[in-house]
Amino acid sequence: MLDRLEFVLAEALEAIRRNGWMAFAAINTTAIALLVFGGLAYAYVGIQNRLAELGTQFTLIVSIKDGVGMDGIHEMAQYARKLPGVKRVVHLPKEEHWKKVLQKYPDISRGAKNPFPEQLLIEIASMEQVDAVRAAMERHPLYWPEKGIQDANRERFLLRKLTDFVHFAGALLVLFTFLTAGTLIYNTVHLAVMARRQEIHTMRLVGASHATIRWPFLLEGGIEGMLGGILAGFALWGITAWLSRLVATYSLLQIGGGTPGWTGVWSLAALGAALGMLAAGLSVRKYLGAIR
Amino acid sequence: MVEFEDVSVEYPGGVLALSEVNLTIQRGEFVFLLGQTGSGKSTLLKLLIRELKPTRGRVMIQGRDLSTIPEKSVPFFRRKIGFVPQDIGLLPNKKVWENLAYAMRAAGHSRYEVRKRVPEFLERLNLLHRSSAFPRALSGGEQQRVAIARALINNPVLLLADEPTGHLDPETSRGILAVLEDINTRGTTVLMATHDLPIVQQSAKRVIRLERGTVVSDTIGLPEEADA
Ligand SMILES: Nc1ncnc2c1ncn2[C@@H]1O[C@H](COP(=O)(O)OP(=O)(O)OP(=O)(O)O)[C@@H](O)[C@H]1O
Ligand SMILES: [Mg+2]
Repeated sequence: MLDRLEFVLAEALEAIRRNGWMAFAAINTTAIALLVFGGLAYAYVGIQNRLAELGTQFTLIVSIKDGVGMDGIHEMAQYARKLPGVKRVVHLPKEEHWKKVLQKYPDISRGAKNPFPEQLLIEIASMEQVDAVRAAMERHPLYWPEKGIQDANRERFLLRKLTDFVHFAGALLVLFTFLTAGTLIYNTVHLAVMARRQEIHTMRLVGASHATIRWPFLLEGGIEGMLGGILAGFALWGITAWLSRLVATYSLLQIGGGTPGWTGVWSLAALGAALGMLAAGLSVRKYLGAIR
Repeated sequence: MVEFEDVSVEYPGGVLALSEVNLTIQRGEFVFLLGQTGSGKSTLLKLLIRELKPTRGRVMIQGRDLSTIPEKSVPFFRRKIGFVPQDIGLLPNKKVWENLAYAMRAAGHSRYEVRKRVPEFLERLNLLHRSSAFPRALSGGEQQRVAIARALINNPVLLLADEPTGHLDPETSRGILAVLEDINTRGTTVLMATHDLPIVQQSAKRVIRLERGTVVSDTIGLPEEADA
């Protein structure tokens, strides 16, 4: 068994080596396809996490001007409590917020100044009342417009839109790039079959089993797909690490944070291998039989 | 060992390559299949390795009708038969020993067996001194011997050789024939297709003569008037 595997693997590697540039192109195209897929999947998971975090409550997080003391914060909270539909108002101290970020991204936030404002979390009874409360808070003199208001309702709405985009445009993009990558592997394996006509002929002559003849080509596709997946996994790792740093430093976005890491690399490698074997299988089915 | 019952082969396009062939070959025999070019020799041999199926009739080896062998079992059936093709078919970018090793590995032999037996085959066919040569550097007779060695890797019960002396001088041809006779005396049934009249005349063996796809004579030795 191991002995067979050794022969088949050696044949597959030989086929890739002989096919040099085509294999290179196939690997890179697969990497791009899987990077697109991985990126979309990563964004999708991020969005879903954020949606779960937002829950079903109707909440606003209102920023308070820099330098306002506890008195001012209390005064503003009282003002909010009197607005129709407001159930609960909680002060979110900026130091707490910053502490969390320091814990999550210690290396990148160390030494930086706390960029967050003091905030009030306002829970509202129903969706219809959200906009009125929001407008009233925007009129308050201690409100800090540059830091704005986080509106869970609006955010949910936007995130749902984004999910739709990921679903439909993403599906098209993934389909297109996978087809391209699959076609390239398909053609690479076709060339490999053609280049090894004589070997195939000899193998058939001496009674090589169908599996022994077929598996090197399937493995060729699988290995090319896997290498593409590994490349894509590391690229995604790098990109998301860079994005997380942006998020942490400028607190630009609420979604994201963290990287897919090794899980991403292995998953994309496995997906690439499956794609490669599938494309190779179709190619072998079409072209191997025709070799005499 | 081998039986043909009313075997006909018609190629696409209507060429009738074999017509109503009947013959029996016993275990251990050495048989010449003599015929001019286009008489159907290669076609007959290809039937025996199940590269072709007969259009009509039955081809049997060891009592088994070859057309009943399922596609996925063909490789295992082929391991019982050694085939030396007319075009020799050595892999040009592999050395002599690599050609044998590759064929053995492909046919399912372990690395251990390859290490042990490749030198034995090379020695038996007097090729040891050429083992690191590439096929294009070999003489015609040497290439033929490599192809014969390759046909022996599975210890076949039946060896088929398609015009193994086709392009060789008489001296070298006799050498190849001697090799095949040696294989035969060790118990393998040998069927050799040829149009090489002198070779056939020199050895008093069974000769099946084929003309335009039909068996015209089946004799021991060659009748005087023959001029294939
Ligand atoms: N694949 C094929 N398709 C169509 N016709 C074929 C095919 N192979 C062989 N033939 C024809 O069948 C007949 C017998 O061919 P075959 O190759 O068996 O002859 P042969 O005796 O081996 O000849 P040679 O001595 O030239 O090798 C010939 O007329 C040939 O043209
Ligand atoms: Mg022929």
